[in-house]
Amino acid sequence: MDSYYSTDYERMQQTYRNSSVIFTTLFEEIGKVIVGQEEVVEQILIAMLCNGHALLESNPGLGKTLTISTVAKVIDLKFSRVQCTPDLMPSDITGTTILEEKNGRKEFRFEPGPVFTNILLADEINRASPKTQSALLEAMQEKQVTVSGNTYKIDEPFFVLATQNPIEQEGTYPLPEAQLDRFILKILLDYPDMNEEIEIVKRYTGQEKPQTSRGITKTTLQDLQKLTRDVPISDELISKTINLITRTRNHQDIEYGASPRASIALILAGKAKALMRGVNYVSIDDIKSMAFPVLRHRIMLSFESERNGLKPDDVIKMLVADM
Amino acid sequence: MDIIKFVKRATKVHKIYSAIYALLSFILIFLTIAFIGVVFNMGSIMLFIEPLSPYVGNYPEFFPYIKYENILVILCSFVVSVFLVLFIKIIFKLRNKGTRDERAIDLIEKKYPELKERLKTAFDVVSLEKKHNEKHNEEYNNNNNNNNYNNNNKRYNIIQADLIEKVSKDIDFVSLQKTFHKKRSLSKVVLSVFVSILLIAVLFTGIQSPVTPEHFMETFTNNDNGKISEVIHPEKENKEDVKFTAENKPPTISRQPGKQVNVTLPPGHGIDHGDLQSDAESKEFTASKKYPANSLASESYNENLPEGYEEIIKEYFEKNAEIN
Repeated sequence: MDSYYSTDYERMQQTYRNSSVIFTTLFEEIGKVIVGQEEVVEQILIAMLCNGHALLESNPGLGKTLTISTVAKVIDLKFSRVQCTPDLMPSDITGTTILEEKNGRKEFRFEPGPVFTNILLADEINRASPKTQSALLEAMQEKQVTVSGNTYKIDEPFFVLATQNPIEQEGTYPLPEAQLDRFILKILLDYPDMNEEIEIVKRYTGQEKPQTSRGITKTTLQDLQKLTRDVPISDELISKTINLITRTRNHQDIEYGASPRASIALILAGKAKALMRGVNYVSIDDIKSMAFPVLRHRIMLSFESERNGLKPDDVIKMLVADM
Repeated sequence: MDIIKFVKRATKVHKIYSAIYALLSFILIFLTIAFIGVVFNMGSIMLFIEPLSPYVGNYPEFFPYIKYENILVILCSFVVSVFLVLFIKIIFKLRNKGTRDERAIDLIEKKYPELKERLKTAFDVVSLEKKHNEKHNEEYNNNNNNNNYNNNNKRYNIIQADLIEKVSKDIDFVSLQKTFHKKRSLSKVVLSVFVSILLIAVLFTGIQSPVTPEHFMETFTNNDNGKISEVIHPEKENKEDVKFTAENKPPTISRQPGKQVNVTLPPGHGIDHGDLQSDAESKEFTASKKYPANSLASESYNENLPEGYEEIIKEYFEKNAEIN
């Protein structure tokens, strides 16, 4: 219960009382630039509230990069972008030591890489080589980087929002399942509907470019992260959630089920969803809605199921229906 | 209102209500089984139990309104109902896993949807805190002055405290009486009264269904000469050994002996051409003409033929030949 000091208590209370307004403001500001995609924006924010990383997957041109950069601007966090290519080296991400002359002396200085930021956009992460991917994933897990024997901590909060293109798989290095597990959510972007596309065209073919302004500060985000963990959940719902995860390990259509990391992720995501809804408890609907982004990259379907055209979301739908 | 005290009170009330539902179910099941048993004269099975058979059809001295067999039916119905209700309770408990507190909370949340999931979550939070306090009671009292705890909210975080405060206010308006299934219980009472009236009527008027166990027993005890026998004791081979008086004579069904029919077929009956094609009446057998001496007969016709058939077969083929 002592997750914050008494001097911050009033600030935390204030943040909790204003949480509905905070989230409404965030969505409004992001909505000035991003048309539609409310669910995607919500899931990105949930990943941030859980202090986790997210993997976005969609066809090209659906605004993955724009969405993430807009979120970073609205939350007033340092933002860096890395375009992953097959020739990207680990030092291009983590940083490297360079030799420079200072006061007549030559000495090594560490030049931090783009990973030393608050929000790192790793575009097309599946194009980077496995060695580069592992360097990034290590930074994600440890929140620190070791270069030439020296360890450098990454500033909190630290999020990696990676993107993937489901088509054009030639020459790519798909992330192995063990590494995919480090992303708390896998978010899918879909094509906008007719009205949304009309709005996009109107906004982005005019003279003025859509702009957004800062919505919340870094401190407020950190307070919201602490509050997320404080949202209470009933024992019965915890049991039901774990039961759902356990059933992925015995399902006829699933070759490999989700690990206990998925249970933690699902409950945390449920808490974040409840906080965003403005309620003070986690409901079963929160868990059901978050089951899809939490589980779709953590389960591996059997060959028979894939051959029959079954997708992970279809199996998750069946599992959730039995909850 | 304190959430734990409220839930404990709700659990107690739920226990009482469960007992009432079980009692009403038992009464209805008992009366229904007794009614069915009396209507279908299930008590006549006493006839097959030797020590009890003399009592069939008699009235006891202590209660000369209901026959012995019906009293037996009522007692058996009582026992069966007890087992049935216990069985249903066991099945219900196996299907609805959870503590009594959880079941009571489920009932309240069903009746008051605004408390759905909130009451359960708040109860879990305060229960956990209570257990924690009981475990570390002294340490908690020592530290109470140093930490920024709200005395009313103990060690809850902001969100937990908010939830508990709101739920505590909301449960003040909860009426546990509303969790009683009035409609279901009333319907059981009405049905029980109806069935009991029917049962009393059947007991005192002696109205019975035409189908009774005796029918089924008699089907199995038919003898070979076609006559339907009366009910006999399986142990007694000789009917004459069973002495029945006018008072203790077992109930039997009045029967008419069957009409004797001769089903043997005389030779030649119904084999003639004309008889096959029309609804001819049965004819007396007349021997056909002797076949011509110069006609050759097949050997198969000569082997093992009954007397008189040779002539008939020859005539049949002769007629066939004439037609062709």
